[in-house]
Amino acid sequence: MTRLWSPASCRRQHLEIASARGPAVPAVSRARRRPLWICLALLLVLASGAAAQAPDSEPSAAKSLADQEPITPIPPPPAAEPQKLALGERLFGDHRLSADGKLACSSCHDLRTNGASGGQAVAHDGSKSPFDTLTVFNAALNFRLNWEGNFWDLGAHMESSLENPVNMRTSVDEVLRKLNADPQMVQQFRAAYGRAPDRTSFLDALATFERSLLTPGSRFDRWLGGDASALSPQELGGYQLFKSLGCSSCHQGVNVGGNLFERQGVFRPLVPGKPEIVRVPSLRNVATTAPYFHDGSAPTLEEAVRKMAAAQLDRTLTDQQVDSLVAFLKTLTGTYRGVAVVGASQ
Amino acid sequence: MRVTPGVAIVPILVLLLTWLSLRAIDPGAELFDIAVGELDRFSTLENALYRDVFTARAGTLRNYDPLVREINALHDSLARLRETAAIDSETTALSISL
Repeated sequence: MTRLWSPASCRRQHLEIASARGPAVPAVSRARRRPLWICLALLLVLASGAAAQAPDSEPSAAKSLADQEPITPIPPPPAAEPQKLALGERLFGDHRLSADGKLACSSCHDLRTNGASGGQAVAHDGSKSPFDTLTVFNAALNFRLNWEGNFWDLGAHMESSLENPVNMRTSVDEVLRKLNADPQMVQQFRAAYGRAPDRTSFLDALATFERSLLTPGSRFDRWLGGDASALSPQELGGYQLFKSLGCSSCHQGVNVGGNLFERQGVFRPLVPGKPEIVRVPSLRNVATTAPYFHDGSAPTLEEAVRKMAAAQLDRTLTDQQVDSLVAFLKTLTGTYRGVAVVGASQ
Repeated sequence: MRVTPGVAIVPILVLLLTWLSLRAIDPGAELFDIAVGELDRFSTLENALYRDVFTARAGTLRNYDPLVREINALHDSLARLRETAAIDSETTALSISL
């Protein structure tokens, strides 16, 4: 029969042992003493285990802060095979991904600056795209892609971008034909995927690279990590205001947004026309991604903050409040490959 | 000569047991275990999603990232179940044709 260990059973055994003690039965006594020693050893192990866990159980400042706030720090980029990553990076800057060979992904998503461009993407005929170009930095952390949030999957989104009649005007098949005609590219694909370029490997290489485009290390993330000196009192005040006004109802999570849909222009008109419901954009690196809103109608962060407060929260902000909020938003600028994200040069 | 029936029974028994062992092999058992495991996982995720939806409703969910993670995980789990079902139907079709 299996006997479960418990402090009560231990004590009972101890009493049994104590009553059985006597000079007449020394061998039995020794045998019965064994469970006592086992109990004591178990208690010792448990006590030492509890003692060892004690420092962990005490919540460190960093852990408790990150656990209590609606925003969480950006994690390091996911592990990826270097060959696939290098291939994805090469494809990202490859002009063969557009019909006329003039545009690459990097043409509109400049990784040297903010992962976007300075406004709407320019079409092949010189006209402008109806939507402001979103940054590719941290895009993989969004629950849906694009302003309208009409894509779940990075691969499907890339395929659609290639087929966009406004700029790339090509197709995956056409790109694959070009890539397969390049022996060096075929060799790189074989090294990374063990086969010549095909739809799956092509989209996977690009997606692998896109997932690596994270910008950790912002001052706000350092503050979340426990570095109290990372934010100035004004920035911290801005963050408190950000929460108390209700901005964090939508702009929360690891990407400070990007994880829900929301109607735009709830109390006052914000951006005329469609879409009325947009995927809430991320506020990561927001200080570097002017202009703002999906039509790029707000040239500065101050104006965007003021308009958002009025349209979405029915609040009229004072200049001081705007300055405070902008000061906080500037702390969300992270680093890419150790270099701070900066605004587009345009 | 009395030994003869005994000797004859041994190979018959061996053959019978071998046949029974072969009949007992179930190639779909592993697949079944995988499917059951995945169903358990799906159920766990569903419960976690309900919990977080209620937490959000109560206003104590810090952000919506857990909901996104759980919904994505449910989709992934569903995809794996569909894959398993597809393999299972192939196996069933194969066994019927045999």
